[in-house]
Parts: sequence; C-alpha cells; structure tokens
Amino acid sequence: MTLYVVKRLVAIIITLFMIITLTFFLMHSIPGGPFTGDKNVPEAVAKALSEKYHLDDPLWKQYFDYLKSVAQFDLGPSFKYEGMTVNELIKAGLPVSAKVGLLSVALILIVGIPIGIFAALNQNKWPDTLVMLLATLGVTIPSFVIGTLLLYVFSLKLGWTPAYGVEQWQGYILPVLALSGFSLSFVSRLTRSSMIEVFQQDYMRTARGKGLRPSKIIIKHGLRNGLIPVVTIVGPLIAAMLTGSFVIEKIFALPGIGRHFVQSITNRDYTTIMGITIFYAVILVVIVFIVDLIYGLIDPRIKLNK
Amino acid sequence: MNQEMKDDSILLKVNHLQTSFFTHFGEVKAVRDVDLTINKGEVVGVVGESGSGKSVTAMSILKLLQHPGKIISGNIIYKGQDLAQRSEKEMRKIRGNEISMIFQDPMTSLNPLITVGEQIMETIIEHQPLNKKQAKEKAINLLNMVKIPDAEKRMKDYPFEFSGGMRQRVMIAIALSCEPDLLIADEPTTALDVTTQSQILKLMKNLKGEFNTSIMLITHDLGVVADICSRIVVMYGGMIMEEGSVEDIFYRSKHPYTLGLLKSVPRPDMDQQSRLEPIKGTPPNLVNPPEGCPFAPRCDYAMKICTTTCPEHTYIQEGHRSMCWLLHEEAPKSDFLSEGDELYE
Ligand SMILES: Nc1ncnc2c1ncn2[C@@H]1O[C@H](COP(=O)(O)OP(=O)(O)OP(=O)(O)O)[C@@H](O)[C@H]1O
Ligand code: SF4
Ligand SMILES: [Mg+2]
Repeated sequence: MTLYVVKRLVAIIITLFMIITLTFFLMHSIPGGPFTGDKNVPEAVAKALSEKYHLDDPLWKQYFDYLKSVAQFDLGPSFKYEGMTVNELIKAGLPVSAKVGLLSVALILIVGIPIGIFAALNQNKWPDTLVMLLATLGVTIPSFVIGTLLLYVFSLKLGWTPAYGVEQWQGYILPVLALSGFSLSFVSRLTRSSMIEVFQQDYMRTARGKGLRPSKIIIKHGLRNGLIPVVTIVGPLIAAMLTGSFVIEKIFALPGIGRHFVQSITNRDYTTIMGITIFYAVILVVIVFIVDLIYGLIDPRIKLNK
Repeated sequence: MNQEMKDDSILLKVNHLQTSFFTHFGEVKAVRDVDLTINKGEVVGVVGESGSGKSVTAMSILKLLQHPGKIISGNIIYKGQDLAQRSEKEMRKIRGNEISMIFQDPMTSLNPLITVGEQIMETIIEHQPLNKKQAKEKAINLLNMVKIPDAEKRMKDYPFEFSGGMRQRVMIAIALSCEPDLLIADEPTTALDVTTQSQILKLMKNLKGEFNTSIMLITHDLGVVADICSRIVVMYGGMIMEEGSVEDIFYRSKHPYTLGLLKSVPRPDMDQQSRLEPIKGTPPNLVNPPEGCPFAPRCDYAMKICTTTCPEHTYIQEGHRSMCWLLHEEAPKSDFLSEGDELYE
C-alpha cells in the first residue's frame, strides 16, 4: 500500500511535469505575445516590459527559469493584472470557484445517485421514463446553453435569482445547476443502468433467497456493486466540471478562477495561463488518485500494491 | 381441508402450478400444471432437458421470480399453509430460514464485494436471535461442517479467493445456516468438475443424514439422482412427464421421454460399449406451445391423438405415474411398454 502510494505520487509528478512542458511550448507557439498588437502599449514600453519579464530570453531559458520557480510554488507575476502575482489571483478566485465546484459535486452525488437508483427500481415505468428523458436532455445540452437558458428564464424573466455575482447566496443556484447539469444527468443514467444490471446478477437472487430485507438487498448487495462504474468516471467528470467552470463563471460573471483563465488566453498572459493550468492539473490528478484509492477500498479484487 | 393437507408426512405439496413470463414475444408458459409432493426427510430429484421448467418451478416455490415472471395459478402448500397466498414480508421469514436454495453457478452466486463470513452471518442474523459474535461462531462451525479448511481465517476472505467447489461449499453453508426444513438445490454441481462434483454430492448426502432436511435436487445428471434421490420427477416442456421411485424411472419407465433421456445420458450402470443416443429434435417453443402432448413432435410413438389432446397422468402403481397416451386402455399395444424393462437386464 505505501509502495503503491509512493509510486502513484511519482507518477503524478511526472504527469504534472509533462503538462507544464506541453502547455508551456504550445502556449508560446501561438502567434502574438502579451505586449504585442495591443494598441494601448507603445512599442518602447512593450520592449521594456518584455525585458522586465525576461520574454526576450531564449525560450529554453525561460522554460527552465519557470520550472525552477514552479518547484518553489511560485507561479510568477501576472503580466496583465499589474502588481498581482498569479498565486494571489488564484487565491482571490478560489473561494468562489471552490464553492461552486464543491456544491456541484455534492449535488451530483447526493441527487444523481439516488435518482439513478430510483429509476432503476421503477424500470420502464413512467417515473423512470420521465427522469431518464430529463437526464438524456441533460447530457446532450452543453452547459453554456443550460447556463444561458437558466439565466434568461430565472433571472431576466422571473427575477428569482440575481443575474450576476455571488453577493447573495442565491447567486450560486444557477451556476451550480448549470455546471452540474451534464454530470448530474450522466451520473444518474450511469447509476440506473449499472443498478439494473446488478439487479439481474446471481448474487442478488441469492440475497433475496436468503430472506434479507429489501433495504439490505438494495443497499448492501446492490448499491456497492452498482457504484463501481460510477466511481470510475468520477475523474473524467471532475475534469469536465473544471473546464465547464471557465464558461459558467464567465456567463454568470462570477469572481472565480475560471474567469481569469479565459481572459488570460486572449491576453496571452503567459504566467496566468500556466499558473491556472497547473493549478487545475494538480486538482485533477489528486482527485483521480483519491478516486483510485476509494476504488480499491470498494472492490477487494483490486489490490493496491501493483 | 383435504386429506393430504392433514397428512403430516408431507412437507410441501405443489398443486396445479402455472408460471409464465410475459415477454415481448408473448407469454412464455414455463411451468404448466405441475403437481409435486415432497415428504419430510425425502430427497426428490427433478430431471429434464434444459428449458424444461425445473428452475422456474423451484423459483416459484420460493416466490423468487421477478418481472416479467408471474405465478398464474396453483397452490404451494408448505406445512399446511399456501405460500402462493403469503405476502412478500411473510415469504422473507421463510426464505433462507425454512426453505433455502442453492443455485446453479457458485462462481456468480456470491456477492464479490462482501466477505464470505459476512455473507453467512447476515443470513443467521436475519433469522435467528443471535448477536454478531454468536453468529460468527456459528458461521465458523458451518464452514468447518462443509469442510473448508482454516475456517476461521477464511471468514475474512472474499469469494474470488475461493475455487468453484469451495464457493459451492460456502453456498451450502449459507443454505444450511438456519437448519431449513427444505433445501432446493438447483443443479448444485453442474458448473463443477467431476471430482468436485462427487465431493459436493457426498457432502450433501452426509448433511442430509445429519439434519434430516428434505431436498429437492434439480439436475440433468441422471447419475446424480440415482445416487442420492429416492424419488424422481421427469419434466419436459414445463410439465411433469413421469414420476416414480428411482427404480421405477430407471428400470420400469413408462414414458417415451424418460426412455429417451435414459438412452441419451451415460449412467453408472451402463457398460462402456452401449452407444448414447441423443433425443432427436429440439424442446418445444413455450410461447405458443403445441396442443396435445408437448413431446409429440419428437416422440417415436406419437399417435394422432397425441398432437391434438394432452394426455392425463396414468398411475402404473402407487407412486409411479406417467403422462402418455400409450398407457390409455384403448391405446394399441406396443413394444414400448416393455422397453423400459429391457433397459434393466
Ligand atoms: N426471465 C425469463 N424470461 C423469459 N423466459 C424465461 C425466463 N426465465 C426462464 N424462462 C423460460 O422458461 C423456460 C424454463 O426455464 P428454466 O430455467 O426453468 O429451465 P430449466 O429446466 O431450469 O433449464 P436448465 O437446465 O437450462 O437450467 C425456458 O423456456 C426459459 O426460456
Ligand atoms: S403422449 Fe404420445 S407423444 Fe406424448 S409421449 Fe406419449 S406417445 Fe409420445
Ligand atoms: Mg435451471
């Protein structure tokens, strides 16, 4: 087990290293730079700025300098937000982004899984058909469409929720719904199909044959088996939510991290692009790692020592 | 109340059981008018080709069928009360406790995520006033009884750490954990290799002696029934074709299907030279079963009436009945009636 954890940690560091390298060179291969083509910056100033941020150094030198500072958890100064470091940018946006993200994850698990079980128990009856129809819509409509629709109906037309910002708690409702819509639908569909399959397994018949109570049969024998496929897709789902959050934060004008990310790309704000990418990459690999540990706990056939 | 209900040597009496599956293709009449009696302490073998309705009969007794399966009619009189009328809640008190079942495939019948010990203990705790510690002790005893070495240690293991034969032993331990009056074993050895098969059968035989449990043993291995059963029920197309003592069926069979079955499978008393003859044709489609005798399309003796009207059971002697027109008093005498005896020799 300890050996497994160490191995995984090494793998995580290698993965992150590769992400950093790829992003770095890809980013620099996009034409233009942070201080070029911008009308407001005179050429002399741009030159001075480039010098200040070592943008005139050879690329490989910039790369190694950057690696060095990242290794010390320093993501460098932002090019566009004057006087702010990328660390500070992330720190400022984190509370809002984390709240939206965690609420969405909670919604997905606490609502999505029970919906899936409920639908499976009512297989092919009308509650199942209705719920699955909604879920199918949910996985086919992109989150920015859901977000815009929600915003239009509930904020602009009905005025039930604020149209932007999170000064009031109600401001979180629509972003969380928009962000979790896809994953919520996906998880409930997956839970449903997985539970239906589990219900047909021989061991479920054994459980009924033993005279166990329905709650025991469904939860103890059914759910654990049924959740295995759900656990496996949690990693990709989190990835989908992280990327989705960029758009959602933009639509709802939330002061989170994602908003800066979209802006930083148009601005060629190199350090911010790199910083936020690394930040999200770390979150993702750590979550995938935790999910794998949980997977090993649920399924005894998976031995965490290989 | 009829007389049989009062007869206290009878443990289970199934009357006119009819079970169907309502599928997209139509009603699959899996069990059609089955009568079955199991006496206390008796081992009854149920044989028949694949799809003859053996498992569905067993599942009907415990009311374990799930949608789209449904018991259409019939009584399942267990200890004088009709299980067909019992609620799901009442059935739960019977399942695993008074009547327990062992299933065909031990590889998939245990929950892969739960320790073997827990899977035994949960049945005990469900039905008996024992706490966890006492249940654990009992489970260890059961594992010892079904001859699993290192029982105490193996309690913590998961099913995937057991071989097929060992898993079937665990299933037997679970089935016997509440000392049931009736054990329904649905092809308990079919999925196992020959050596393991005979070990499991020996185990069941010993346990039978110890607990005096009645057993309904479903199998398509005639060797198995000959060895441990006292009575045999032969099923085909969802109906009982013939019923009798082991000797009646093996040496004095009065049914063309039984005879075909006897010739198609190796038997312990057969010499090496005799050739096996599989029964020609395929089992009937149970969605729209043919009128008349279900075996008619494959039967060498079939007469005109066989295809139009289903025969009734005729008693050859007490305890030996056969459902065949050839036994009707007006039927033409044929060599068939002595063929069963010839197999004897
Ligand atoms: N869930 C189901 N849905 C539809 N038909 C079914 C279902 N289960 C069983 N049947 C049908 O019922 C009939 C009897 O099946 P059953 O399982 O009792 O046969 P069996 O005698 O146990 O055969 P085997 O030796 O293969 O176990 C078969 O024709 C089968 O197709
Ligand atoms: S009733 Fe007719 S078809 Fe059926 S087994 Fe007897 S002889 Fe054959
Ligand atoms: Mg069967």
